Amino acid sequence: MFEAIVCGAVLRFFQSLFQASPFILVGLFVAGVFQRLFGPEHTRRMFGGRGLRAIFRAWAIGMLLPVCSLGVIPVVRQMRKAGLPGGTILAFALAAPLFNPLSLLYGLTLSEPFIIVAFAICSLIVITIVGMVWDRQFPATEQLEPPSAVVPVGWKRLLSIVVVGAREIVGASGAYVLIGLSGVVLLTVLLPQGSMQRWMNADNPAAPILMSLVALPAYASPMLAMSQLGTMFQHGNSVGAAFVLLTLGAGMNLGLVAWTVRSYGWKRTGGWLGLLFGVVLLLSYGIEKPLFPSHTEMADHTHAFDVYCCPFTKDVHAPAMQVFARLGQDVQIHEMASFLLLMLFVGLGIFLQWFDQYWVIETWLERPVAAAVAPKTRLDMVVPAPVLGGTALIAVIVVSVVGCFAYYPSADEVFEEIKIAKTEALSAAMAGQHEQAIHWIAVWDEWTRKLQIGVYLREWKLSEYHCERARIILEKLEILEHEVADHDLDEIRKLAAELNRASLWMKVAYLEER
Amino acid sequence: MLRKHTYDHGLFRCQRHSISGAGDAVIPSRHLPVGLAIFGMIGLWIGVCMLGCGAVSSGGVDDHLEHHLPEHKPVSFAAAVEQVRLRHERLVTEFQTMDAASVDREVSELLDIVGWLTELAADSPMKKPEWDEVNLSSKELLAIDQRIAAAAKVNPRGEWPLEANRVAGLLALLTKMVPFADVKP
Repeated sequence: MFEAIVCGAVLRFFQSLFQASPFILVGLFVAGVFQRLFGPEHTRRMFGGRGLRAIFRAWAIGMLLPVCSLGVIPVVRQMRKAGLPGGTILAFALAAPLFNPLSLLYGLTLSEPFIIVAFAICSLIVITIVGMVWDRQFPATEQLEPPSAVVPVGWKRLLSIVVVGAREIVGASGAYVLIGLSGVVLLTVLLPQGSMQRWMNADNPAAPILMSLVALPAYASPMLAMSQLGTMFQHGNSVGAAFVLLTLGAGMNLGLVAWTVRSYGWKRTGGWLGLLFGVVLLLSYGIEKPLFPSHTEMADHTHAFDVYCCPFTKDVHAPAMQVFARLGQDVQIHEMASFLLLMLFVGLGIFLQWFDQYWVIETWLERPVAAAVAPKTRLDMVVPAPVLGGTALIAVIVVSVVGCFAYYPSADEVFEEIKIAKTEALSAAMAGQHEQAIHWIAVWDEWTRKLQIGVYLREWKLSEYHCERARIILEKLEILEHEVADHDLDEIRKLAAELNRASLWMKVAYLEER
Repeated sequence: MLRKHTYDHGLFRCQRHSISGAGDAVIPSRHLPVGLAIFGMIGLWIGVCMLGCGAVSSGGVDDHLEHHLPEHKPVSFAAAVEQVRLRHERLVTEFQTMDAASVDREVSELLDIVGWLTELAADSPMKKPEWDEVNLSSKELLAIDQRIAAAAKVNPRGEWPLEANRVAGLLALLTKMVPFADVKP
């Protein structure tokens, strides 16, 4: 029993860490840019000081940057060092993890576009109210730290950004990230497998409150939160709970709370959290009825939140082995690459900390260099650090937009992946290989969703006909998942035949009827 | 020259003194935060794992979860169109003699079936132009049936806006689409 819980916690911890790795890397890079290229003055200028305008800017910049609630930690630490007011920093901290180009595209295609836009507006309302009240109640929370010395132009300037990232990940930011991930462990241990399946039904008036209890310790990357929203709308779950999941689940974690306590004290953090929860819950109950999708049939349960519960039951066989097997199946290539890069940063940070007793690299980085003797040409000019910083931030946003095309491939590529997933899922289901079948059903499900987004991304439209074709597959996959769990071979065979047919019709629709 | 670097390395602020120039000498200070966080987290894990034993032992999901298919859901597009036709006929002939509860149930089932037309059509080999026709017709039919449902709610035995001619036209259109939804064996 103890083994099942420990292994479950380890699995969830690493699943979250792998998911968060790309976003943490982006956060470290942005923190480095803020510290070494922008400096306090330009960081303050970018966000515009205090007040409504600054909060709106924080919301808009946060929406564009591809960070999650863990990746935002190094960035907000830099913002605090730059002397920005608490209201602006907390507005950015809340807004940045909610949406990014990848997740927004997912939401606009697969969830209800109108609801996603409404959620974005509601999130602006939340951060505006909370930010304004914070700035009014606690007017002197700015804490300007002495700026870092200027690093000379050239590769030293670029290296200094890497050094900031490495120091952050083995310093305070790393500690807060670990605290954030410990929330995932806490939930895994306290929530038995599948225990949240009926909590978020639309007819449960306590759904938003229950979600607010789970959402704070939970970690949800923007993509995970958006896919969970899609599943919630598909199952006719509580819209209020969906909004709480987005704002508190994707927007917050225990690490961010720990940073707020450390930076602003218990009382201010308590007041801020109380106000935040109050505004979010009020809005969530306010939008529950008006935004509920009228055409959706209410399901009696959902599997969307199984990821917050213990993955194993007490009867599980060899859970330690299953941790490796599941991680091997679940982790995507870009997550693995980011994780390895993150570990490189950790290694560099540990090395620098050890090496500090002999030689501090910053002393060398900040040492002025003699002016170059060679005459400057028109193309060989010195780019001011803030210009380079601004370009770097725009590049991050552009890369995340362009990355959408790789993350959501074209239809013919997707059908190659679906072919593999279909073969594996159906053969495992028929052979009674439960774990294998469930895994490949999830893969098939994910590619079917990506198919729609990929088409939408390339053509900026997706007909109702194509949406319905994909929806048929998703519904049948969900039923298949239940039949696999019930080991009902007759039903599995029937569904396999139906899925084969529906899949063929979908392929014809997407490849020949657009 | 003695230089003082201040870094915020973790939950503690630490200061590092170095002598600039060749062979910097550094007085190391506290570098404990990550270590503390790791040990704290392991402690928390063990603590909550002990707490959680009860949760898992009592746990799992005991009740059986199902995706219930409503009994009145037709198995195919053809069956659905036939059901819509039959139920519309009954609206004229039988419904006004039924009690209020039965009327409510019948009308609500009719709305469900009309709502399923596009889904059942998409679960067939029907092509896009025909499916678009079904989509348009079923939306219009749904609007008519919603008006009937609203009237039936207010007055179960009164005058309902049946719009018989338009409904007949839409049903004829839907019936024309049935062959396109045939699943070849």
